[in-house]
Amino acid sequence: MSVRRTVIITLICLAITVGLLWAARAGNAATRNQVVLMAHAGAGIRPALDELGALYRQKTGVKIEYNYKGSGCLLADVCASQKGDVYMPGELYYMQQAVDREFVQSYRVVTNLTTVLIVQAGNPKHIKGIKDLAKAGMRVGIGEPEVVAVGRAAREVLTRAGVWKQVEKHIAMTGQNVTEVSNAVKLGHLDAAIVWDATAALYTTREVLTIQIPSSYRVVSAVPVGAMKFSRNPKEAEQYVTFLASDEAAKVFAKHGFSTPVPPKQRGRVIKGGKG
Amino acid sequence: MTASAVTSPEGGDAGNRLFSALLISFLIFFLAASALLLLSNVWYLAIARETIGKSGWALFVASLRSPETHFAVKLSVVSAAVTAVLCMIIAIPAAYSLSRFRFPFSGVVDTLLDLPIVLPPPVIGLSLLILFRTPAGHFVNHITPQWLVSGINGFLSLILRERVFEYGRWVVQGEIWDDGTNWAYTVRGIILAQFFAACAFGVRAVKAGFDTIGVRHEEVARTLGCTRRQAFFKVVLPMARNGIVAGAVLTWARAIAEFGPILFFCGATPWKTEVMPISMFLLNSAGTVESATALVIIMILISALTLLTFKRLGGRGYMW
Repeated sequence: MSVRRTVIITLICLAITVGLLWAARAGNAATRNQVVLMAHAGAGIRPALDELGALYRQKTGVKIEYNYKGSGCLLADVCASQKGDVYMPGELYYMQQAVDREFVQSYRVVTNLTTVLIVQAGNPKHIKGIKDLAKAGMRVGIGEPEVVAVGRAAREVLTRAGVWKQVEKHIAMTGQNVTEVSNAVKLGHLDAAIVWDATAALYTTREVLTIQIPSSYRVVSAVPVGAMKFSRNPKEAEQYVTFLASDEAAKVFAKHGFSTPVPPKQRGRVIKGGKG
Repeated sequence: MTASAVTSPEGGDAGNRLFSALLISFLIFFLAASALLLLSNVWYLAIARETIGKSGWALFVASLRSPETHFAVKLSVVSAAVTAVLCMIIAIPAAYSLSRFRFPFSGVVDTLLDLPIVLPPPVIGLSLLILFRTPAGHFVNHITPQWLVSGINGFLSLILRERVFEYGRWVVQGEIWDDGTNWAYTVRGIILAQFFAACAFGVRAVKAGFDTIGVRHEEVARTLGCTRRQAFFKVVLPMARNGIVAGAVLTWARAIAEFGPILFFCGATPWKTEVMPISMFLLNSAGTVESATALVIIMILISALTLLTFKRLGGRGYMW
């Protein structure tokens, strides 16, 4: 009895070892010569980035894996882990922080995010523009200004329109990422929110209604992309950054609602980091 | 069940009935509220035609058929199962020691053990991320053998691989790529995150099981000639079966529900660390609340199935 059990246990252990080794071979065969880049990216621009990643894999065979999170969380993540190949927060402010910590040596501006106003489908509160947010009884949402790029932009828009003091009292929620805010409008918990054009493009007009903000108040925020110093494939990481600055990538960004393009000449510029 | 069924033997008087009815009404209120909470997801999907112009049923079926959902479900189930097995390997001897032996500083031991239960789960994720940049973490990365990494990744790839039609051509998604021996932002990191978040629950449940078995059983077995080892394997373990099953199911359930630690330590990477709660987070981040809701319903069904299986296995009492 005891001998039989020992034999059975040995056999099982052997089978597991053989299985693991076989799986290792199969796995290695599949992944040999593969370069995988890890990109820390803002969660709100997933559709565009997923498409660009798939396109890039098709063209070059290099696989892009995104870690999606709110822009402000990304930096804290990177500080703790010291891992990643490409860094793409939603705003220059966060890129500058990464540059200051020397995580990123140089970057390019690949596209722009532009603030828009969204309201519930059918616009039940008859909101016509940014100043209507100061009216009594409005429930307004913005990104948390200290945490996400879109929150800082929303505060800027409202300050430029001269209604920040009044609207501040109507802010019913501040989101940790931009889609958290837009989803709250969609679900009817908020009357209006200030989000990015690319966020508003995630929805149909049956879900939320987009209202443009006049150019005098509008905030246009550059989207920077840079290779990281921890990268084990720095050449490939730099090539992916170059691809994101290409005309081909610009078309994909435009398709996903990034309404303010960056002129090609500006996209070509490599901005060197340095303490700033 | 009516109130009269639970009245006391001497009772039957109106006051007692009224009191019982009052108690039961609280239960009914809570049950109704819980049911409404869960069913609201179905409700929201049912009116999807009004909100986004698509039928909710079609969205649910699309979610069931989506290769990304298949990936998330498989990854969740497999990682939670591995976690539960690992937790039990640790929890059974640990719980037995706690139940039978006296420790110095037992207050400290108890507190350390219960901390993961009380701590907000994301704390575990951030701590892991920071641990792996300290020399201790570098050492763990250093001693992790490459063959083990390749083995785990190859094994996972075999299970998780899905063919996806994407941007005009078929691609294989869900292969786990060889990412070196560093543990942060990897699929095997999920198991680490789940382990630290869930193991304490397992230890507690198994210990409760051991506590109900008197030391006398072992002592009798040993006077009859059993060694300590034999008494443990032949007497205590079979008697503690219910507690062990409860511990295993509880850790599995905790592991499959884990979100915060994985978000921090493994990242929210589609087709890689996309367990079901992360998948829901990513769908929500893309503004597709309806698809997230469809996934929520799938998660509710899986959880309900787990509980029913657990009850069938006879594990009652120790869990809560």
